Amino acid sequence: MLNYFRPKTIKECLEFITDERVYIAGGTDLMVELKKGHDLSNKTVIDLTHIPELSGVKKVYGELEIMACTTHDDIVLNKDVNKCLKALSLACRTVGSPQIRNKGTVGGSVGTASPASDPMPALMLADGRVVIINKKGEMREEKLEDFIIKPGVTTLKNDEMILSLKVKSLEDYKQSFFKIGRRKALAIARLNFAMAILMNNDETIKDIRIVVGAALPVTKRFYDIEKKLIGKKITKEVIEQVSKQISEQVLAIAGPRKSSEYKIPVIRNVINRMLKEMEV
Amino acid sequence: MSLFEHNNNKYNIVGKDIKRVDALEKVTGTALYAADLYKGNMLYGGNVRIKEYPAKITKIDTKEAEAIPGVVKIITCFDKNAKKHSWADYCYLTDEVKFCGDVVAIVAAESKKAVDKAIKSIKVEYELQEGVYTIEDALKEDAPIVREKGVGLIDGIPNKEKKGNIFLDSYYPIRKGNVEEGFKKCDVIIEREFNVPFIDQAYIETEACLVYNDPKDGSITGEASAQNPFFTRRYLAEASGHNMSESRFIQRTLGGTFGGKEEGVGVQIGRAAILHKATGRPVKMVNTREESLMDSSKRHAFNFKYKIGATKDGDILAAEGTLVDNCGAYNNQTQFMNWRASVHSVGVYEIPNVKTDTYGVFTNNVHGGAMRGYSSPQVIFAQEQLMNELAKELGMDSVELRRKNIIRQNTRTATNQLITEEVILEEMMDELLKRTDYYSKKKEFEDFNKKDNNIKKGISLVTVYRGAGLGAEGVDANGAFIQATEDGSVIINTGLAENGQGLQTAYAQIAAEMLGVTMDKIHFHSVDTHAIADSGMTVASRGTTMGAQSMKLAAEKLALIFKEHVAEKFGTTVDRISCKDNYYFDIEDNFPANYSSDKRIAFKDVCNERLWAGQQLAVYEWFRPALNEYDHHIGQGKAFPTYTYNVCIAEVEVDVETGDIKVTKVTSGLDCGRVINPNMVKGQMLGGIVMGLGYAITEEIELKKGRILNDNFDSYILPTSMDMPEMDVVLFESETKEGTLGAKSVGEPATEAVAAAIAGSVGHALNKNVDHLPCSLESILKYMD
Repeated sequence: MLNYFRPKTIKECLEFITDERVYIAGGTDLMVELKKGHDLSNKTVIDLTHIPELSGVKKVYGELEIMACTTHDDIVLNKDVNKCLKALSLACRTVGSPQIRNKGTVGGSVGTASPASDPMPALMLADGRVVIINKKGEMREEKLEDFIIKPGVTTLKNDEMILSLKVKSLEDYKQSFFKIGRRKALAIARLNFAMAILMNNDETIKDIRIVVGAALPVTKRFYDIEKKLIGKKITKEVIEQVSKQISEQVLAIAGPRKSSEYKIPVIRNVINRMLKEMEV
Repeated sequence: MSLFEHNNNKYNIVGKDIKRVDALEKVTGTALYAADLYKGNMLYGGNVRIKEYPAKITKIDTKEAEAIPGVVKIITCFDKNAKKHSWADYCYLTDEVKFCGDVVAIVAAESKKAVDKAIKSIKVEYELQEGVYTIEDALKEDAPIVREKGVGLIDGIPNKEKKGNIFLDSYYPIRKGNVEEGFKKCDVIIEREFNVPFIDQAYIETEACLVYNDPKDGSITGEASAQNPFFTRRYLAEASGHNMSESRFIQRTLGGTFGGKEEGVGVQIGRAAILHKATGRPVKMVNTREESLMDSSKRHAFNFKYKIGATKDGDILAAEGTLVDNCGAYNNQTQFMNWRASVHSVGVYEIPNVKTDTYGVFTNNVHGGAMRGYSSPQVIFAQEQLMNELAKELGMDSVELRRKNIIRQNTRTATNQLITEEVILEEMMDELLKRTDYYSKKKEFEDFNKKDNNIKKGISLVTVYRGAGLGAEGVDANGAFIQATEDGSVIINTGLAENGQGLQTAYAQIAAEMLGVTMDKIHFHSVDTHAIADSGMTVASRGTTMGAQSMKLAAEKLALIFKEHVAEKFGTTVDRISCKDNYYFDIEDNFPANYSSDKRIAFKDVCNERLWAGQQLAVYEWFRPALNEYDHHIGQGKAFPTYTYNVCIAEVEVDVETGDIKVTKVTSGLDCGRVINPNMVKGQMLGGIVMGLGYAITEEIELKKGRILNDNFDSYILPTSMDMPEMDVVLFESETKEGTLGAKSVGEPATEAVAAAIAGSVGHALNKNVDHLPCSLESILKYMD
């Protein structure tokens, strides 16, 4: 027996949560899984598509709170996201096709924990945190890096749901997003990248953020490399060094795989290019 | 000038942009596809397959499945008389699984859901055997033998004295002149190897059929998304055990085929017929996309080894090649297709000494079959990169090397066929060079590429020709039936099939033109095997050029009979009577005013008069072309009655840091003899570019021990509208006496050169030899290593 609920409020939704719950937001992953034979019998499907409070973007104190069921297309069109986290609107623009962007949600993208998620690098860029609520109404927040354990696995407990994502406004930063796919639309990222940079008046780096997705089981932000760059100028040598370090770090974590042959040099090339473009 | 738009057109309907007769039903969604069919009391059928190959099935446990509510019948390969070879070489059911499409049991149930559940509940036990998957492995001395009939190589030639994996029937040699002597006179000789993978036709409609019994029709009736109705009838009769006269097949609207809905649909309808026989109820089978990718034939994977030599001035004196394709485990196509591959094995060039060997090898993969081009996209890809390489080695412009060596009127092809017809290939090259501003672009790109830039630009021209129709591969015979009715409307019926290529419209245009009636008067009756004679398959781009010959003859004959009627009525001669827009008139004078006040006679009045006078209103005609003299042992002789010519120029931008390719422009010029419908020809060419682009850059069936890894369109990457380049298509016309009203082929020529041109432009951008397809992200990075 399959139970199906379509709550209209978050409060109502929490009541339906059971240990066997499965959420459907945009369905762009779940429907594919179902076709592949994912068994939903004895599950409780909670349809999140009719909860208005779960959708939209709020701007509070230098932060954006993006509600979990905000679609990729909503994000692309949202003025605050465009202003504060340009990389995210660029990223969401590259998701699938118009149909997928109209249906797929940012919360779903985080919840399914795909290593090739397009919004993920941009969310991590802005210190993205997942806001989680449980059946009792208790809330907790977790950094994206901690929330995602491995592909398809997160720390979300059975009695919890994703409420929203909080990201820092990077309004003053120069930002970019870059995706490589096998075709220009409807492509799963072969690799994706997000970068943000804030410069001091003396042309030294005040803050820099670099994220690479689809290269490792979990999208990775390179905090250690970022830290070392603060106060430095973006010279040719620095660019070479950073791109080399990042690609080497990826290789060290991923180990020599068949896909590394392609991905490692390309990560180096693209980081190099993105940094050069930041410099201009 | 042979540009279509500059030519005078003496016809009223032929050569005009007539709207497709099936456009409305397709755009409004009212067209009836096979999967749309339902019958009362209908069952759904499904197939049980295993996931590893090759294997010997030892046990099938159906107990649990039989208990599922709604399951009506399960037939396994162990049931009496169940294992039966089909016309397509493979079995409807088998205990010896050789590839991913092989079926070990079939299920019929009241609902699709029950079928799926039953398939999951059937437990199949098997012993896995050692398999062979690649061309390289198949040719190894100690390779496991895939098929009993496979032979080995002796002195590089397939020979039945030795066991191996070569499919002997698919071996075609070409022996022209003396290559050893030819190479001795060459200043430059190069050798190159090329590889291309299996790809899928990737039509949107998957294979579907419905089998039932309508006692009025005979003993068994089938409807399906089949490309070849008569071919499909064979399976229907064979699997059900009925006479062909009792087996009726009706073709439904096709949602794409490109060669894919041939044997696959045949075997599907055969399995449905077996379930229908066992249950006495209508049975419908519809493939999922995954099943379609597993079961349907693929464009053959090929390995090419070429050697070619020229004088320092660029005169090509000798060419040698071994062309080996991957047949898969079963075959009913490679033995035909490889003949075409051999004929075109050294391209559209006049080369005095040619020696090529073309043969297929059996492997435990999905089988190669027909896909838009029937070997030409593969051969042209390799052949044209070889030309670019030779030009590079000679220090010569690659276009000039082609210009120097192309087939012209009164020159001889690789099969030593003397081309007597007009050839306008050089004129086409010049027009396309001009249109694309080729030489200034080439220089601009080369200068651009010298800079330290992550983008490299390339441009490349390829020249090709293609034998129109079946040629010496078979007999291009066909029949057509035309009948006028009393209200002046006309039904046309042919053994050739509408596969989406626009055949109905072209045939209706030809019939309307011959009769002098307007298009709205013609109704095309799609193929029903009870209503028309077997006219062979609608393949090889033969539909209009050869297949419409009988339609033209039938319409011509009916037109003559009617003109005689009118002439006799007024005591004048037939040559003075003409018909236009549904009215007969006297070309010099007018009809007597006492008959018709506006001095013309309506076509419908003639029809009506003839009906009530008991005079003939219908004509059936058969067309059989002159047989080509061709020696298959040495591949010499007249291969085809006529050839279509194509020039294609592609332009690309390659991001060498990521491997991403942007095809910026494709310009394609086609000489397809007389253009019957310019818009439809252009449509074919645009579609051909799209398919060629996929073949060039993204498409590849990924195989792991015979298992297809990318079994849906999320991972089998077709290009999208976002990947499309600017496209310019140019129509040329040349004179031929061979095709219907001078028409040659369009469907396959429209796509066969595109991947070669794109690969050539990638090669130009990178200054490398592109030696395999697709030009994936990874392969570009490797070229740059």
